[in-house]
Amino acid sequence: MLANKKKDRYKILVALLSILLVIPMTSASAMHIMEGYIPGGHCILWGVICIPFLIAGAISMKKQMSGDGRVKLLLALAGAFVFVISSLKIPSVTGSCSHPTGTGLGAILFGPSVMSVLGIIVLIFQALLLAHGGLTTLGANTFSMAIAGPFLSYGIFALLKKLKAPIGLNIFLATALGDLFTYCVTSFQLAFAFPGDSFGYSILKFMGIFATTQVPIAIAEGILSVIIFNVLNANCQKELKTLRVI
Amino acid sequence: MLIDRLAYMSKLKDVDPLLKTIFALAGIVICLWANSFAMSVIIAAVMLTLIMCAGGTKWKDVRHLLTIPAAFVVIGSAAITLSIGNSAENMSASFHIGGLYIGLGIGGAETAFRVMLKCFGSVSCMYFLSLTTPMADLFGLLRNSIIPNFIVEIMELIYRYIFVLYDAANRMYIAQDSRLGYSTLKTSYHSTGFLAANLFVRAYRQAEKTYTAMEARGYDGEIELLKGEYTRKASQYIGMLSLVVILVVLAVICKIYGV
Repeated sequence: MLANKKKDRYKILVALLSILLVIPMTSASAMHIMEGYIPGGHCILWGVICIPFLIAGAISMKKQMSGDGRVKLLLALAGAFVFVISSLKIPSVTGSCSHPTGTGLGAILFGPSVMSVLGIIVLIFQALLLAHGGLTTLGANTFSMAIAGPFLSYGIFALLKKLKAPIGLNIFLATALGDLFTYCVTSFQLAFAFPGDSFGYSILKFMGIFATTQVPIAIAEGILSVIIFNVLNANCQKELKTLRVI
Repeated sequence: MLIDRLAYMSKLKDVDPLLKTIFALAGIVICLWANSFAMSVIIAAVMLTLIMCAGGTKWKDVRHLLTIPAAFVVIGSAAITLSIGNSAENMSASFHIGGLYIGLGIGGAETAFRVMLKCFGSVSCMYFLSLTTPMADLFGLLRNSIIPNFIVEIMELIYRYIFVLYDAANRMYIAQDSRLGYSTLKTSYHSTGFLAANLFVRAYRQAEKTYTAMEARGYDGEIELLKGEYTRKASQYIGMLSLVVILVVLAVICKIYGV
């Protein structure tokens, strides 16, 4: 009996260690919930939750575009920019490959409601062109990556700007926390889909596995966003002013 | 981008995109609804066979693409298998750490395996769509849907400029890398930051240049495109629709027998 228990312990130890080995493999594609991973009802639910945000975003885009034809092109290039940024590799010590989400910086530069529409477009392209994410999980992914993260990033950015915090610190906190929040929402969505015996412990479990791997990535994204913003601040005052960031 | 290139090379490229989209989505819906081991494998087999035999995509490419979801699936499944609780009664084996039990939940491995296969099946369906249908055809479909036209237009422009910016980013990366821009961690961050900021400026300028060029050619706020022409053979419609019916019947059978 005792020997058996010991054996079980070894089994679990091996299982846990193998998970530790897997963690460095995680990348931004690990944040997109894959096609077919959550049940149909959840897909519809998250899709419905996204609709009001998307409609608000579309209305605000339409309003901005009616004044100047240039805005449409600017929005399109902004979308393409976010897509390409999210495919950049974040340099990291372990040699693992991780990508920034880019949506936090996008929300600061282009506004959160516009970002939600651009975000869902980027997610569709990521699903179809890169096989990151999926079509039925589009609603869930849009909510975590194009709505929850960007809105939090923008909220923090606006708040700290009002409090006159140094702009570097501001951008760092806004983008890093936005990135982390995206992961927390993803963990919540997965725990909601696979509650196991109890929902609370399930959230703890998914957060433990998904969010902890994301802490270094979130910090890296924050640092990177600050560098990007500093360069923009030094060289592109005119462009940033038209986007009303500063 | 690999998937985009393969889509244009596919032999199924000229089939009505509406038919292909409905077929792929029907596959995913059946796969999610059936939630069975056998059905997921059957759907994956059908879709991959169609991609390779009817579409002519090489196994080498398909195999490479199937490894993309692996990272998420492995971690996600590990999370499902693990179980945390304040008692060990629902666990087949467990650890006790500070008042919490961490272990392998009963039935956890089965759920994880089921989800893994379901993911495999529906990813195959998604690949059927993305490996046989170029994006340009999907835009045509979206224009006829409830999505406002200006959004589809922005999508088309984004699709176009993804490639332009991707190319620019690649060239900048090579230029930086050849000047030892990625030799240490610190310079890597510096270089990546500069690359992204530069890309932003490029994108901004490109938008202005494109607008000027379009206006000079009579742009009035709407981009008009020619509709694509597709081969519409009755055999394709009947074939795909009967395949869907067969899959539904199989799914019902799998549900009844619970496999």
